[in-house]
Amino acid sequence: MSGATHRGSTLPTLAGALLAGLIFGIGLILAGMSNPAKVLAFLDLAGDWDPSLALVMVSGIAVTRVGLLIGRHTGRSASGEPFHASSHRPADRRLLAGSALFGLGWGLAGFCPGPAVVAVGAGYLPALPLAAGMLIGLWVRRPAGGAH
Amino acid sequence: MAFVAGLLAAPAAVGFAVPGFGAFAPAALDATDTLRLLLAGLLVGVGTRLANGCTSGHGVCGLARLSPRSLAAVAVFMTAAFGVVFAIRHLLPGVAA
Repeated sequence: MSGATHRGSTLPTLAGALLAGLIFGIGLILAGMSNPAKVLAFLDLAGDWDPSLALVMVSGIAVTRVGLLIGRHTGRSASGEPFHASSHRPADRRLLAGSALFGLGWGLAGFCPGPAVVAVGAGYLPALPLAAGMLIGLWVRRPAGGAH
Repeated sequence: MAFVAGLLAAPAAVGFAVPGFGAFAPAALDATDTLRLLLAGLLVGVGTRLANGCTSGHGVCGLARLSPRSLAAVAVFMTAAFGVVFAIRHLLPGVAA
């Protein structure tokens, strides 16, 4: 997910994104990622640790890997857009600081961005202040000149 | 934006297929909860922006690409999250659930 701006998105592209969001959201719900109690149980190593969400990550990585290999082979994404994976860069301080803040927030509430949006869609009350904070956080550090 | 719309619609889709599954009980919120959630959201938002990715961005897509940046990001945010949960649940009992 690079910060690329989408100009003149075509209908198939939009439909593809909508479908992808829907599938991703359903997956998060079925896997239990959108249940903060389960996420916090996964993060609670010293308590009654529930390691099952690690499987979600492992299988997610495996499926994504297959998709990436297909995309590299065909040069197109499933919705027909040109496929390009960005090149690898070394980790920098910004990445590490951002990840640390992200981890603090994730551990504090048990919500990361995707599940937070799903929970808002479900009308889950605690997701509202969380999503508000998230939007403010994303907006405060928005890329200069990046329109959305 | 269409992707976000899909995410928002996912609970309805799951609820339609399997009634009752994927429904979230609207929990009551007190002021402390609200503040904690708002703070958590801020950290997640700023952190995602700074690191250019989150659990799925770095954890799933990045690791699938075998990106060393993502491996570093995942190691850091998992450690931070483990640490916060440990602190809240085992060092400061009574602060939060």
